[in-house]
Amino acid sequence: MSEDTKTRRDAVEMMLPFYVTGQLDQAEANEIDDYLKHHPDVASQLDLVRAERESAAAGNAIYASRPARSFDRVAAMIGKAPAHRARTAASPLDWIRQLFAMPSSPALGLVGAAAAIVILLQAATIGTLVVSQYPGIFTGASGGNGTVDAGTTVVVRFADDASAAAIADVLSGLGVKIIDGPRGGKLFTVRIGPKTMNESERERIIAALKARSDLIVFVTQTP
Amino acid sequence: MDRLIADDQLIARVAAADSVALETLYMRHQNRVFGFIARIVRDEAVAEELTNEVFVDVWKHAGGYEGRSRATTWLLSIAHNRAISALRKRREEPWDDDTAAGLPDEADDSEVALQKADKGRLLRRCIDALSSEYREIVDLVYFHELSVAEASAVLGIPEGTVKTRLFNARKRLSVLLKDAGVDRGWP
Repeated sequence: MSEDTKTRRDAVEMMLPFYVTGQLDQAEANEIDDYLKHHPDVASQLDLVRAERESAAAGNAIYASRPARSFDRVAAMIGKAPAHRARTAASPLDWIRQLFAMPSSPALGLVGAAAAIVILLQAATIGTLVVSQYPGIFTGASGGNGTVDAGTTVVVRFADDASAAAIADVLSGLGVKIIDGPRGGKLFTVRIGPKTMNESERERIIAALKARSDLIVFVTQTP
Repeated sequence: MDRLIADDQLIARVAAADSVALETLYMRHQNRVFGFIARIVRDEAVAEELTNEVFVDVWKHAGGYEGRSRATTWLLSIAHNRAISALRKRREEPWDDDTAAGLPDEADDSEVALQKADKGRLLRRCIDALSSEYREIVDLVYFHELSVAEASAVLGIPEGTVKTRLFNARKRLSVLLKDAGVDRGWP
């Protein structure tokens, strides 16, 4: 391999993580596309990068789903009284409203009217899913932070362009439900069955979720 | 507060001493900031306090936010500085330590076998075993989904260094995996 060839290969390999996460501009992405077409050995590295991404998300998932802390401490540090004394939601609907009042990701962020409409549609759809199909998962004591009854859960990251309707269709077809999210890193916690579900059934559901890579970027078991 | 208020607008309100706007930012981003810091300092109690301090910094310095970067990038930049400062005070692990060398030794034979059967779990352990410097760039790019320019702004390093640091972190992962019995064929 010539020095120039190696340099070019290294340059492309350095950009693969950003290529996979969609953080390249169109021209850069096109360059990588073109290189990968002619270098299948480098293209095969994409699976490694995707696995790294999934594992990084899994390592962060425990923090992303942490119950929200009160603002009181920060308020005291800046010498102000917190405006919202009661953060605990009174009902599942309130929790859903809070959840979607806090978009923290570019995908669910506020980038214009169209995005705002998408957010509201997602809130309505996912809210309907949760509230109508899981009437018993919110308790008076813990409903505000999304805490739910025990079950087998996974953390998923939906594709940025996945519609709420398509997501709802897939999840309802598998009999699984969104119970929390979006949290940092655009993660949702999905309950795939009872705590006692057997391993083969768990693997079947996870495989089925992973098979919908058009809608679901990755699926990872909760830590 | 209106749910459709963007982060940039909230920061502008914070700059005008609106504590309700700060509270909204806090509720919106506390987990992202907490998780980012906790992965660096590896102490949740410390991370809790540093997270609060990040938002106090936002309160104090919101006027200096010019909107050139995403608000999340700005928050992570403050969080990075807080975390690194805390690490230095603690004189804990050196930046480029080699903690993972003992990774396979931590497991008995049956566990190693299980890990080999579950490469995802093993890969996660290897990421956790990276030095703070490498783990941070992996998290910024893969989990927080920052661009090269954004990661450069958060870490205060040139864009070229962002690329090489991540590249080296990925190579280090391959070494750790190999030490644990998994050769992934790269580099």
